[in-house]
Amino acid sequence: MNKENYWMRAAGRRYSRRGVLGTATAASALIAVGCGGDDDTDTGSSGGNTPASGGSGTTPAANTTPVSGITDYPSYTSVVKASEYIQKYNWRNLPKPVGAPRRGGNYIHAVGLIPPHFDPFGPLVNGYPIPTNLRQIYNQLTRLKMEFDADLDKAEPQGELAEKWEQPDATTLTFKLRQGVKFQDIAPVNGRVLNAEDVKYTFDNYRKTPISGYFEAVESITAVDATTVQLKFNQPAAYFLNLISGPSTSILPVELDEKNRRENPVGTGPFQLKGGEFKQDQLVKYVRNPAYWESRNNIQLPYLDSVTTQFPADATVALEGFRNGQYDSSAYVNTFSLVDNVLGTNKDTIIQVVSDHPSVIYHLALQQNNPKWQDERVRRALAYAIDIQQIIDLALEGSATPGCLVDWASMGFKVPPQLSEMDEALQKKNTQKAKDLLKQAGQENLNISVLFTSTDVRGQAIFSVLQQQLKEAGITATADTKDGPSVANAQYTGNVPDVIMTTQLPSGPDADVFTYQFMHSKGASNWYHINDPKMDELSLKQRTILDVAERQKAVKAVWTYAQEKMFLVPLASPAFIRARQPYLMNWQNHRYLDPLGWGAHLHGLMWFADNAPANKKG
Amino acid sequence: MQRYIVWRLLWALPTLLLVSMGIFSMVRVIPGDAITAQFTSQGNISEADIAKAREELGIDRPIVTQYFEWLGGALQGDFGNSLVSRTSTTERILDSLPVSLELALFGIFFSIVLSIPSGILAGINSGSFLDYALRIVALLGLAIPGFWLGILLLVLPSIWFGYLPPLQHVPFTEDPVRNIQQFILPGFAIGFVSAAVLMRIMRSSILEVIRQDHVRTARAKGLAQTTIIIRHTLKLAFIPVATVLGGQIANVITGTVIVETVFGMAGTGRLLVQAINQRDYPLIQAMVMLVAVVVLLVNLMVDISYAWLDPRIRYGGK
Repeated sequence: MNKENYWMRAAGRRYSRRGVLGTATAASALIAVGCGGDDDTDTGSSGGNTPASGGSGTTPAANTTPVSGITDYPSYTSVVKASEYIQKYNWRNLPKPVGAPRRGGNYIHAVGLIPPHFDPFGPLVNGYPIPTNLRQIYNQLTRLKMEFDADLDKAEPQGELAEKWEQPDATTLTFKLRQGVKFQDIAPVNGRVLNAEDVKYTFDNYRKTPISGYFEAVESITAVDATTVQLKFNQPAAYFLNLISGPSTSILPVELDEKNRRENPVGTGPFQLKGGEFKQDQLVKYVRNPAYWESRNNIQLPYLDSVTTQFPADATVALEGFRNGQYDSSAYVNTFSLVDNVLGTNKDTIIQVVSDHPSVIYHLALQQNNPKWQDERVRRALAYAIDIQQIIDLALEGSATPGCLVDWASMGFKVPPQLSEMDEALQKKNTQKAKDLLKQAGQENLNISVLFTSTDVRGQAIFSVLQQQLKEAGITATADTKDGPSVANAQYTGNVPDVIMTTQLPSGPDADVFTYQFMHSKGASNWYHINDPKMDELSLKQRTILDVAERQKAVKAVWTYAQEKMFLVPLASPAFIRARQPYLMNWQNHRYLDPLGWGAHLHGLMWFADNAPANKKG
Repeated sequence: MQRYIVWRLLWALPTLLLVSMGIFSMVRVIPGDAITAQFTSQGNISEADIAKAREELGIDRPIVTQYFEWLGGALQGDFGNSLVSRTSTTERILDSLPVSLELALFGIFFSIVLSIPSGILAGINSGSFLDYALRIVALLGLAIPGFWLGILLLVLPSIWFGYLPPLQHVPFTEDPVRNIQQFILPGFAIGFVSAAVLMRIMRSSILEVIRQDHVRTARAKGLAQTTIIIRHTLKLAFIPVATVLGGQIANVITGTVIVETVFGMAGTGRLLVQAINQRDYPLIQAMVMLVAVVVLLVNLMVDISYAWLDPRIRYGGK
């Protein structure tokens, strides 16, 4: 060993008392600065500091009570801020677009997935991210009305390729197509005019896909003439028009074979893939369809030259990409902490908060093929043991609304849906009632394992609160975490020991998706193996009522019954937070645009303001 | 030497066969498959649709049947089609390979440039402040996980200086400046961690060699320190470094998995992560086989390099 090494020399050196004291004082000061509270309320000085949820002098949220057993409470700062933010950044209060629309510009945004292909007839027809992407290339007969001045609480169907439609009787629907609409000028279609045979061909093919349920009441599809398509139903289908207005019923030309559909899509939509770029798992770039049929104020749409969707693979990359202007909008500024973080450096960022679509609700799935959940009293006990508001406040920064199986689209409900519409009693915690029900069912010491996705940070936070709440009712819950595909597999097959906590529910712009398809014993999406004769009767009934007001009552009856039976326990619907650059106009990332793609056609209506960076304007 | 190389290559075959059997069975043990994986975010699909799709993809058949069918194709260079995109797995790997190779090159470059000079400096100045400072830096390299360093390198310049490397890949041939901008930070993240290991080996190796008789003789002859180090120390000191360097190259190649994900780069590492998330069995199998082949070849090259570094080393026939 080298006897004259540095440390030995240092140890043998003499130090003055003043030097030692000075060094100690300086070190103490540094530690004090490092550990001290941040008095600087101007987040603009350091956008990198995520505001802590803790802090003194803040007022606790009125309805928040501590959960026994949890010792590390948030200080409720974030809960207060969340309610302020939800109001401030509500889509109803967003600034209106400024200036006249201008053509040009290359819009780039970051999303969670890139489509593996573009085939609308494949198994992913209704699965994210296919519809969002297909809506750039293809049009549909009808779409949901959700332009900036539309009442987004309603989401009514409006004509897209269909100029108009008629319903001469309860089982006939006739669509009149717009004249002269051309497909993109790409082989093998080469810009020919759309006709009724294309619509018939497309709908016939959808009957062999996972959205075949949309068409199960369709008896026949007839191309009456070049621009008229007639559908005959074997019974009234109240849901049909809403469902085909969702993003999964792109109209294709008859010429496209499977290879073309997957790799070389040709539609009538505002953008086309040819001339753009597609890199699997990386990005897809669409360029303007020069022959697009739609216009606004005598300006041909789309305004943008191109739309590029990038998959950043990592949330940090996506966040920094937005902060540095490489992305024009972001789905990754999705918590209020991140909102503060971004606003700290980019003060002009436009933030938008909406409730998420009802198919994205944290809930406990009580699979009915599991003997444990076949006793209704046990299911109801579970619901009574849970305080949803407390979960929202403690686990979700207050940025969520209580979850309930209400699909407001076309059903006249305000967003978020009011709980008074539902059975509120079941949404409120009643520990004693939960205990009584468990005792009656002979399950006083119920043990359950809760399966959820291991990477779901919100899910983990919810579980920790949930666990304590259930404990008060004598229910012991243990976490069982797996990766996303494993949880999805358990959800679809019902192969799960006890209960799954997930956000995933069937999606579609009509109440039928959440009633008949989800809860009827023969429904296409009856993942939870519900088999209840009364539910079958109620969910079937709502399908055939064409009068909107009457149907709303029938749908409400289904939901009320579902709440009573508690086939699943709704927890919370997290707020849907999105950010965009201030120079991006008419960006409508409300609840329908992303990720479900219900409003993906609105990309065609966006434009870059004059003050946008030169590289953006094109 | 030729006989040795042939022998090593032949031994690689059973290794690869075992790897193929292991990966083939292990990916199928994980719950879920390519169909359910595609519906983790959103979607409506019934059990009947799932069964139909599984049948179409052929993943409902017995695993042994699937394995021998895949092996037959693999022996002819056909690793099958992706279960998600239905395109050739070979094509997908070749598409992403340039990004990973370039990243690995940057990583190896930083690893060597940082580790070798600092290891030599620390070795010849053993016990000095410089030695301790370099060893502390090396310890940091060992202690800091590559992905965390990557996140720091990405986030801090972005917040402090408003700088972020281009997120969209640009090939070197198209725009060399943007290309280098894109690779320099992730390359450093990979190289720094690897350099920490190499620097410590280099230092201890130098310390060992400079105490040997031939170095003492060189000193006694009055040769300059630089000449002693360059002509009589370095080559011998490189032998253990070469061994570790081989392992580090393999680590760098596999280490790109995390760094590519952190930096959003579309290389083979990210492709592998995607394939696992999507339960894309053929793609996972092809990628793992590729990594196995690379690791075997790198190890072979390292063994061969010993003879060049130290002519006293001879290889037997077996």
